[in-house]
Amino acid sequence: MTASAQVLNRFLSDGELYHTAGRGTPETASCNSTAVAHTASNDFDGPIAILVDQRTASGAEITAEILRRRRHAVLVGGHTFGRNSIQMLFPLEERNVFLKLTTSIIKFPDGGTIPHDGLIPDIPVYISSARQDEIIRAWRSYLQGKSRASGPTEFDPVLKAAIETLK
Amino acid sequence: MQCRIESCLASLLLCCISVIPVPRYAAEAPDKAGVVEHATPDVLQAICDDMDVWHVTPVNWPTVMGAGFDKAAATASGKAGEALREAAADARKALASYATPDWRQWNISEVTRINRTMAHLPEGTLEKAFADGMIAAADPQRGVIWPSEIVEFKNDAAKPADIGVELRSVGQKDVGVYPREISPASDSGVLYGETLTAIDGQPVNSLADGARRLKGQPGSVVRLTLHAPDGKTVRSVNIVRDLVKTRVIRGLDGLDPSERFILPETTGIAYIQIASFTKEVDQGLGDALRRAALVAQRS
Repeated sequence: MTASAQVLNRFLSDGELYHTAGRGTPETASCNSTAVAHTASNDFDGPIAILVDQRTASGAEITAEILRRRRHAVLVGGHTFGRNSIQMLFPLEERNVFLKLTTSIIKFPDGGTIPHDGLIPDIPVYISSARQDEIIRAWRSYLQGKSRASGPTEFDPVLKAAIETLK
Repeated sequence: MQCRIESCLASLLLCCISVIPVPRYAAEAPDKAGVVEHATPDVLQAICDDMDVWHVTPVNWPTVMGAGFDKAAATASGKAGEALREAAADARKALASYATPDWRQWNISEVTRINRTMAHLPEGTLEKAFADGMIAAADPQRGVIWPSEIVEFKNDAAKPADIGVELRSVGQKDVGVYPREISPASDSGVLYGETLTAIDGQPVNSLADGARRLKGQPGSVVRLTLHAPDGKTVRSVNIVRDLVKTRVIRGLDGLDPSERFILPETTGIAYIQIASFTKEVDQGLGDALRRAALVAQRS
């Protein structure tokens, strides 16, 4: 979650970002924390669109949702993964066995959290698995310099929709 | 010349993806039949009663316990397997009205105690299969890391190459494969969202099992058995493992270090993909924003 706070600090200069709420047991007392933006000035103050889909999870969802709330960023694409929890490893048996447990839940300053069925994009662009594969292949050709496309908007409808929101 | 980024860039496209963790620490099911006489339904239920549960509500307790029985039944054969499958059905019925206390009343030390006991069980026992099944059904993000897996992690350094894919759970049992744009898997035609059923002819038992067996020496060949997303087409693909490069921040040039970020045919819109929220992201994002601003300023 530290990486999320670092990303957000590039775009927000003050205010609470999110809380992590532990289970209320002595073992997880250290899980209670609050991330706060504290930069002197933002790196970028212009409009932001964020491309999201099922691959957007946990820290990425927190980042996207806070930028939507605080910076009016527009979320474009599909529903996100829907993960709002943090796990810790507990060593057992002299470190030969570990138990991985969910120890805290991420909450926004207003008490809300990431819903289990994910964030709903502002501009929904849903694509099938087959189409997703075509887009990934087109991106691969483009990144390798083998594509005839003048730009990725020719083959990526999510990117195209995002650019439209920024015009 | 210094410039504030917003004065140069018209706007910014952030692409936040690929942060679903491949559960390197996910629980692994035993790969051989267990010791049936030590794994009666009563014993398994006793383990279940003492196991910590985070997200489980009274409504899905039967589902979770039933999943434990199912997992144990899958490792057993003959009458033992049948008995455990019947136990799974009975559990779902009998526990339909079972009520759990609020999760805040549970204490992690209880879980520790129970799992210390379980850690002494022989490898491949049904108790462990039961625990893995329950844990996976309760919360896919959690699990027990058994001693056998620790050994595998230590061996990872000797197997530095892979095929450049993410693995994810699909439904209760399946493992989905998602190739990165530039990777041996993508070059070999692995499709986005295919189901990985076998590696080198052997079934894939879990995400951890799959992730471990995909690793190997650079230049070695691994054979994947894949089901297309439609569930009908089955095929095998041979892939040569390689040292797969990944970048936390990506623009429009793939792995090229002289990355471009300004989208063509736009007036100063930068595209920055955050491929992973790790400790490298802060500096990478700062560098990307500065470089994009400089390019926008020149144009």
